[in-house]
Amino acid sequence: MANLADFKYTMESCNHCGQCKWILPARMKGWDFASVCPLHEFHGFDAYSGQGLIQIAKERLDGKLEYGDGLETLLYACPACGACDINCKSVRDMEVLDTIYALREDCVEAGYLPEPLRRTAANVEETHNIYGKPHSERFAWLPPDFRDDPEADTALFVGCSAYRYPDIALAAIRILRAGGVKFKLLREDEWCCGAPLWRTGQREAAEKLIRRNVDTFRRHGIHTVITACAECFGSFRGGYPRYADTEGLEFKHITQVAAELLSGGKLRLRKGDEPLRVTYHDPCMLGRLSEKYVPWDGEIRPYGLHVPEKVWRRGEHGVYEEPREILRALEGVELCEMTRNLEEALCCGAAARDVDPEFAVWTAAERRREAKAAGAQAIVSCCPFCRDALGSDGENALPYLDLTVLLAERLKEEA
Amino acid sequence: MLYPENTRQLEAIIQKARETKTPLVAVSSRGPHLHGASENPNAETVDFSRMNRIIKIDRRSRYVRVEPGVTFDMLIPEVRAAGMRLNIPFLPRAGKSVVASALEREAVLIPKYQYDYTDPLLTVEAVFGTGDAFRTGSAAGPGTPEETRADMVVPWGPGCIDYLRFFSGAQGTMGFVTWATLKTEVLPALTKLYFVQAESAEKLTRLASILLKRRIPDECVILSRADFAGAFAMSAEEEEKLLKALAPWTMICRVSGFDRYPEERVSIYEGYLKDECAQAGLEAVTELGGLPGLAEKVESMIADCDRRETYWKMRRGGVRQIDMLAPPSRAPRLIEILENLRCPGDIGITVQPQVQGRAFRIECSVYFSGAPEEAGQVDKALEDAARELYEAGAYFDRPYGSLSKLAYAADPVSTEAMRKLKKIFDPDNILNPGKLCF
Amino acid sequence: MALSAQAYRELAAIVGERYISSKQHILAGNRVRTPEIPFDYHSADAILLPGSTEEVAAIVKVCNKYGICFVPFISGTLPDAYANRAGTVLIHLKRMNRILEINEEDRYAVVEPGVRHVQLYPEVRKRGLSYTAASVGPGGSVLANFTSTSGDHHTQYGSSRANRYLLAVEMVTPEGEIIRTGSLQGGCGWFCPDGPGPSLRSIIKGYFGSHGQLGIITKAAVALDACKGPAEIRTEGVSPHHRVYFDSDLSRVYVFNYDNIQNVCQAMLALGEAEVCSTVQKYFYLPLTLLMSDSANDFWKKWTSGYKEAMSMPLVVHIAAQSVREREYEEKILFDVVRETGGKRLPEELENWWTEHMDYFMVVSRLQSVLRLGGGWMPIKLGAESVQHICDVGESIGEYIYEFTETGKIFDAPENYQIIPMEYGHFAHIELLFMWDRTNPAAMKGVGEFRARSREEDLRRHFHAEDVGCLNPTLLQLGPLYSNCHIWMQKIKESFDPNNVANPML
Repeated sequence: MANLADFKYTMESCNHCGQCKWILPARMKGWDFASVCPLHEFHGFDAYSGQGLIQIAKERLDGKLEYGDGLETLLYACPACGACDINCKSVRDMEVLDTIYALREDCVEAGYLPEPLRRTAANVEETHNIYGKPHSERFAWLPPDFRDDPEADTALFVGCSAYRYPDIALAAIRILRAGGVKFKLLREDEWCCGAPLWRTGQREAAEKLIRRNVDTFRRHGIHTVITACAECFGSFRGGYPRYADTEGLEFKHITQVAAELLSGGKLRLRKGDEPLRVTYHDPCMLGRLSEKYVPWDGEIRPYGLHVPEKVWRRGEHGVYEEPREILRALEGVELCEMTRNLEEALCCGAAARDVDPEFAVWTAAERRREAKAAGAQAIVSCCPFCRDALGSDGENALPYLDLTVLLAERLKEEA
Repeated sequence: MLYPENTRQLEAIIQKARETKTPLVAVSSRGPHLHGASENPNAETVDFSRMNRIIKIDRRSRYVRVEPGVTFDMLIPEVRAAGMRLNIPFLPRAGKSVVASALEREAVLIPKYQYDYTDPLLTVEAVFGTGDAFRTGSAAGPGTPEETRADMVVPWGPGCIDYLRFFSGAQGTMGFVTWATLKTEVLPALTKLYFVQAESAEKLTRLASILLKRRIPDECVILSRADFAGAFAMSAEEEEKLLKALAPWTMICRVSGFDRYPEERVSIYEGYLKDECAQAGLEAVTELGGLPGLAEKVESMIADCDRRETYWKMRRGGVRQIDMLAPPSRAPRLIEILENLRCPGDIGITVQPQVQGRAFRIECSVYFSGAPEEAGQVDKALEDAARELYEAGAYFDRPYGSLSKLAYAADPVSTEAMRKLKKIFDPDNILNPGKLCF
Repeated sequence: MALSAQAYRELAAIVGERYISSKQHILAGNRVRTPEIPFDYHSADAILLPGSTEEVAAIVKVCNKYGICFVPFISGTLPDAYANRAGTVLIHLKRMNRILEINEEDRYAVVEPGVRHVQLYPEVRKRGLSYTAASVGPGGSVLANFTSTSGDHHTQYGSSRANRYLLAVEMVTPEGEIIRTGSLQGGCGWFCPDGPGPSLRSIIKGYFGSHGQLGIITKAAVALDACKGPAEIRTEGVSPHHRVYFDSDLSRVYVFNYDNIQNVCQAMLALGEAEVCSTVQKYFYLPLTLLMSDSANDFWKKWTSGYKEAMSMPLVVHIAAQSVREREYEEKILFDVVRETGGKRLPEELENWWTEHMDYFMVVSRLQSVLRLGGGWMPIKLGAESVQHICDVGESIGEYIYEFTETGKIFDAPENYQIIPMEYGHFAHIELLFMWDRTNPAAMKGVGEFRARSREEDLRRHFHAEDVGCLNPTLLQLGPLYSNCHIWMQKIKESFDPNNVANPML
């Protein structure tokens, strides 16, 4: 049985306060953009929310609910963005998102993983990428004369999205080179980070892949892994420690590295061609869900005392500031903020695309609407999946700019 | 006429009336009665003048509890002696029942203390048309008034029903009240009275709304020239002088200081008042021309009832009134309609800000000789005006007489819901039948 | 009576297939036991999400036709928002979420049920206006707070309870008719709740609302006060360490600790008579320490290291003045009163918590942290009376609570009650909040015992410490002591809901 029982305390603690659905009052701005759970906003029923899902989990635990009548669709329509989790944790000691993950493991065990997600898992198993493209083509975009630093203990992990958006990977390389950062690429040893497995409850497959990846990092003498993909970054920090020992490994996002390089004067920038007013969309896995996961196996005593003391992931230490520092450093770029930003950012909906495309499309349009309402001419982010969602045509279409690419284009020179 | 002296007797009166199907109508004020609420042909009058105890004056928790026969002239000095003041209407009749005034939702002079339209009425004990006694709000229990240690001051409930609102504005059609608890406020240690004059009422209603939003003045009322002169003149000559001296509209307002640093509070709040007046292109002054000592007279009179032998509104012999509620955005238009009323007699308009400036009670009085032919003409003029006022947004929340037709016309479904409640509390329809929508 | 296929079809025809469901996993979102309730909720037979008053009315008519009970709800925070018997549908009003009007001149807002405090509050504040939002967190429904439930807020001292500010409403009766109250009934807009004559407002909300037992409110107007305080609010930081500042010389917070509730009473009355301060509140130390804590573990560290003692009886005061001179004047009076009544100012590091969390005086979400100790919590008493009376009630708690705190039946916080004065001290509200170990199955017995004992003690002393609630079993128990109000409430219920379908609890 999946470890649903580990979250019984959470399931039985919910008082229906609604914190999981609404923006925290410290950030309220008005009637619009006040909901933080796109799933609840779109579907309406309370079952479609963090609160609803943990109550569904309780009924599964008690043997009162079966799959097969749409529950699995609901479960995977949830983009697992963590807004409910973070908001709940602003006032409670509950693990809403981890309960959702455990429920997904339960769903997989029951044999109800939705077909599109099965196909993705099969792709990862067979070709080590989510698209099912030949593994040999993972680095096909790399210039033939590219040379990395074979002795470096830092790896640039390009991620599966390099198949679709090689410009991001190339931009990351430009930035690191310009900043004088020595790094290497893992090439054929780089496999999918495993996010589509562990985030969808495919525990066994996730554990196998993640341990393999950690072994690979160690085998290559890697101590620092840099990635330009928010999903990979969030997985390394928030997922990997659940399945493997990541002691001694440090994971960084390209924006953290770039911000450090900028503040250290190691990157020189040129002015842009046209002034541009942008807003920054905080990817879930780079922002609120990117804190390091610290396993806890203790006892919850009366009145909530956790023994030993638990390290809570409440989203406070996500990567929020560094992308903004980069944008502020770009001359001619004016940054305006959306109401739902930082840890309250509305998910782009990408993760729901395979299971509930109508909801995913609506969520992306909603986020673009918010960007436009903030006065932005373009929306900037640094997640390839947010790029898929927010950069698509559709309602409230708005140009999408990847921050890594934007920064690389502004570099004056490379090292 | 029946003269109950206590609740038990009233219960018995009503029970007997049920058996004999005798309609009853309540009266608790000395005359003149201006609205006709306590007139009902074929009904036996239940006169509460013998239920005239001041049951309690509580300085600490700031309330009084009185029987319906207690009138303003009796109560005001007693409350003052306890270091407090009532939130009273503008120059009420001396013989007006304090309880009846509050039940009728008469406009009160200090809007900043009025949180909703039933304020300052807190709780009541009443007897329904079934003959059952009931106490509203926190007076309901636990236990009897003699047993409870509560002060019985919270107006809401008990439970999910606001029983007080069955009696408020009901003209005695749901039950007869046997005592009421009313809020009182501390007597200021220092006050300063101001007058603001204007050519149009609209300038003053806008000003009043802003002042009250900021809770600047205590007493605040807007009077047309005729009503100002009629209220404060002691003779026809004085009235004439005032009519000549006054601007078309005058706002009377007062700022107060309490026991702690009263001068400082007065200084701060008069500063606010003057600033707002200046922004509105108006001036707040402490003296008015027209009569010597007018300001002192006004200051002492607004804190009291009208103790003249002839109630000031009856000075010509007869008066007919129409009153309505309006929000600030609509008040100016309604006042304009009233200013243009064509009928015998003189027209006086009092605009009383209510509920912290969120509404105005506009009361138009037509003063005439009292002769029946004139009365008929005035009635007709007011009836015609009522239609025009209604269409301009006037809310007749206290629909006396023929106004009830207008008041209940808009929503027959809701009116029927009201009748359901009437059936519960007065199943035999013996309490003031035929009034309102009943 | 269970929901028949025909009834389901008729309901689906009203709201559309998308907005009705009887699937078990959908119903599961609204039936699992919450920690403070000792029993499992019934499952609803279906949940509907209507989008308009007309749809609500049509649904109610179908329910009457087939004898189906209905329960209207929005956030679902209270136990009355669940099915309590078979054959019930839940009517979830969240889709009806428009702010229909904010009238700045006449100072009211008109809302549908799905508008939350976190939506309305900032909209009115932008316009220099304000209202008292019940301390239920961001997702609390404005309309439900004002019309259908209860809900008090810290800032009621200088204003009042929501009851005072409810204006006209539109309501669907339990038989499916649409009625209006006050000026709306008279065809004159939203501004007045009363009349014509006696008021239908009487059946909308007494001390509590009826939780839909007398109808479903579909639109409500609420009165707005001037906002005293800066229009701009500065927020820094990221959850859970948000800080919310009022950058203004006109706004100050002061917190004083007392050792005697009668001295607190005197302070409240004196400040009220002087008509100074915007918030005056005797807060409670357990929620306060929780508000200041990052986790249950952090709470325990603070609670056992001096917070409990330092803030054992805190009087929280907020001055929100219109000028610096006024603020200084009010401060002078405040310090005089506190000196006279023996209050001691909290150390700066504790008092600063409020300065950094001014959302406490607006829409409080942190208040849900009172649930952080596992969720077993219960507020009781909840009545209102004169300040003196309520302080007497508070004082009496110490005479019986120790039996329960010292034996571990409830959490050891004997002074854990708050008193919020209203209308500058004309009355006050009391809430005794206690917690228990909800992981202990035997704890509910102690909870029940304490509740019963609290009520018993209040009745024995002839205290008005609680009201009778809505049409539920408590009403039958207490009604005979409260002017037989249970009889009248039931008559009204029978008259308006002859088929007993509107959230029946009896």
